[in-house]
Amino acid sequence: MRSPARLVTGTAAAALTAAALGLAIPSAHADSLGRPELTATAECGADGTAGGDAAAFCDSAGTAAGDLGTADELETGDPGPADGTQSLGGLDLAEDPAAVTEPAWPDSEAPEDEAGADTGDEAGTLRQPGTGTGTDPGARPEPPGGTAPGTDPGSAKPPVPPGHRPTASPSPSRPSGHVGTGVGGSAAPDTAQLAAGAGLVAAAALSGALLLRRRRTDGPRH
Amino acid sequence: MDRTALRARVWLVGIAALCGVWLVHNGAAPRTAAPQPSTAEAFAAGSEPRPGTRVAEPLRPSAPVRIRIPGIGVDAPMTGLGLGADGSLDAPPAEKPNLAGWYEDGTPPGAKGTAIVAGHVDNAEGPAVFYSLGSLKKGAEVEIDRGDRTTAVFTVDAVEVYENDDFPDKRVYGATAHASLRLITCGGGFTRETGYQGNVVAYAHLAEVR
Repeated sequence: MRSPARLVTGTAAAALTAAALGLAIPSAHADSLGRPELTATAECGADGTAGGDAAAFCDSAGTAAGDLGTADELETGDPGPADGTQSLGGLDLAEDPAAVTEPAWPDSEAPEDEAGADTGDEAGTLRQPGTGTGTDPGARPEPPGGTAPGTDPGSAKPPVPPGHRPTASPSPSRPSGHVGTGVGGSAAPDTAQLAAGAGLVAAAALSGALLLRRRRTDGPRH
Repeated sequence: MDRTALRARVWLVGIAALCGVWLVHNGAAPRTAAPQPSTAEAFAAGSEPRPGTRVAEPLRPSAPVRIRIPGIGVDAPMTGLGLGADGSLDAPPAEKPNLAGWYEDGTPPGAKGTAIVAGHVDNAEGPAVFYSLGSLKKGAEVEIDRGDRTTAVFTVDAVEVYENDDFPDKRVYGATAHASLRLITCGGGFTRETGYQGNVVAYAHLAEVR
């Protein structure tokens, strides 16, 4: 897709458009030096409990762009090289449902758990602010598919809308708290026993009354 | 009627009356709660498989279809469970006492991770599928038939009981490096006002595949 600037034919209009884009969209270098990496760092470091997704964010950041198989590294506690500029490609792919070819179940919770619940803090601290800010833009490999918001106004992809900022994808939630698996039917009074007892007491009372009556009637004969 | 016969009948009626009173008194009192695990069945430390027990390699994920616990007479079909609005695990339908449920958005039993299985201790009519879970002992076997026609055999590592207000989420639901199983039902004390005050949790790990 062409950039909007290239679609404008008039020189003045092109200049105006370029100026407008310049205001609206930061240049690739300026942006690559700051915003995306800061975002990624915040995602990773702000809250260790943000779970495996935040950690996965970091992990994919630390490996080759688009490599989604990096959960294994998290599992082993290897955060990968801390090059934040590569994270964006991985992030975009991670957000793309089509790119995730996982089974219906989380093949295991271990990567998510170990990276998120257990080592989320480490994952956050491993990515220190500024360590992956791409201080050498020329050395970093091009993220596949143009990725960062505004990294290259003339590249194939339009800027990612603000509402589409890469965030940690929802992890498979886990239950919390106790389970309500009883209503007390086994702890309630035993109605059958109650009925049997009441019947026995009634029968005994009736028999006693009959015995007394018979004794009275038989009494004078003795 | 001679006096001896009359006296015998009086004694008989008296004994019957006493038995009736005892039955009424005993039946009116709340029945003994479901069996609760003793401290001997708890983990000594941590929540890892007991040393010396066999630990099998995890299986590929496959939905469970039936659970059997020979030691306490459980043989029940299984259904999928989700989460309630408060994040707690739903329970199987109470009107089906012989039905266990598993958390279907989580790890299937036998796969790597922690599989969660829950069943009622009782319903309004009386004891249900996991009524005797608290009497399970370390080393007992839990068999789960799976959709892929394998049977995952778990060995019980511990059985513990927790107060509802102090439920250890991470210990119970947290991930493990092997194929683990948690069996959960209600337990602890019971009052009419608050219901069951805790949960019984049996911890097991995959030991064999048939």
